[in-house]
Amino acid sequence: MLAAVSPDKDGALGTLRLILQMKAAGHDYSKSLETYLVKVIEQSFQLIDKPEEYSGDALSEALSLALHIKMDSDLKQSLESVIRDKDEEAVSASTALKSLENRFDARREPTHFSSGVYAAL
Amino acid sequence: MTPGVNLHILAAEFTQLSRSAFFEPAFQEFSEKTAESIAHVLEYSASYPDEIVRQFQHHVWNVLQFVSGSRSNDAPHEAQYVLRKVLKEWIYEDALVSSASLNNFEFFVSLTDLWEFVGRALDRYDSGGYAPLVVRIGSPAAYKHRPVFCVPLFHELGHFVDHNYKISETSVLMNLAPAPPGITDEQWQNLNVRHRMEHFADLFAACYCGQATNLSLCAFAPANGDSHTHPSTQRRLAVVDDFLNNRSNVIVDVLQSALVARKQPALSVRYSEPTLNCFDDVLTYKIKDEAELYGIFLASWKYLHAQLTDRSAPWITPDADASTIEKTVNDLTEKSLRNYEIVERWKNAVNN
Repeated sequence: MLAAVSPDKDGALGTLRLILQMKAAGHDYSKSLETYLVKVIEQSFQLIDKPEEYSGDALSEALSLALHIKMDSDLKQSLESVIRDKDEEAVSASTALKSLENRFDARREPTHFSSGVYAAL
Repeated sequence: MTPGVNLHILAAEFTQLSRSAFFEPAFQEFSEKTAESIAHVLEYSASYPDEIVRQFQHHVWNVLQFVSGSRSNDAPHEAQYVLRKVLKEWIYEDALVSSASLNNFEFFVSLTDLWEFVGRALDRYDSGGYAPLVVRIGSPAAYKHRPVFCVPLFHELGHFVDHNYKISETSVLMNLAPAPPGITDEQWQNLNVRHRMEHFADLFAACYCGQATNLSLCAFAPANGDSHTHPSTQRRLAVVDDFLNNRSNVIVDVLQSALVARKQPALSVRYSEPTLNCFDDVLTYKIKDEAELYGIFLASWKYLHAQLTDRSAPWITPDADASTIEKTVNDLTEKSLRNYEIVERWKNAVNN
């Protein structure tokens, strides 16, 4: 209650980031992780447009990722390339990972907003 | 220190824990299985990418303090027992409620999941279907025999349920007003997610502890203003008040809609408040059902504060200070909860 629980903390999107990291480094990993990666990305794309329709059975990470993609069209583009363009997947994974890491960078978050902003919540 | 060396250290720690006395069988099994998975990673470390070995190591380190804090001589056992009951209403798979005893004044929940990671990343390891969900909650060590003060743990459990189903994030995906001036769209989205997470956890706690949620919030953070992570105390109190009094509230509505979208039960009052006249005679209360098991937290909180103020109970002698009153009420509450658990275990043993 006293400590903040932030969606950016505690390994949020941890598995997705781990897979992107391995893909960017060209390391081999299991087929089940690749299947998971594709599923998370595809579900997140569906969720942006129709959250009511797809959120019922969506993976938790797909819901979190959808929020990031909604705010970042470049991230969406690089993730699309990760799952569709085999030749470019390492570069695209690296770009997507950088984009995600930037979004998790707490220094980009101001610690306070004006009272008008809070009033609009 | 290399991950390999660390994993040897961790394997020894978990093997030792699995042989510990004062441990629930479920935690002994958890420790054994964790030690087994570490042995597997050590044996096959060359087969796994370095990133996986490192992340596995981080997960194991993280879970260690909670499992070791869950030995029954360290844990707030009765509160954990009630939290397990609550969790069963929301999470249908095997779940363990572990706790870290903290030497500071803080409550928190840790949201990473070791066995989910093992299941996804360690494809050469056969866990034999073992994949329990582990809730990791931290609370002050000084509160381990003070269940009345453990009301914030219901809020923390709310964070866990939210994290598991992504209710707050779903609500923002489904329903977000345009950003006002002075904030970017991204900051606005993040701010809404964080504030809704706190509101959800408060409402979740209120389903089981009612007004005690607000009373404990007022005790811990009476006048906190709005921040980028938390709504102001005033705003949080108002949302819970509206919910408990069946008044319309936008935050409650958007979170309820997200619960429907995620195929989860609605937030609703699930407690009934017992009358604790027996505490006047220093007798434990015989809890009738699960609704009262939850409701005793509110009833005890009210009883404690009434006695601290008007000292009307016959057992309060003129020289009894606040500490004596607090200790007695916490003790009676703890024993009432324990009696319910013992009777339940007895009935289970007889019926099986």
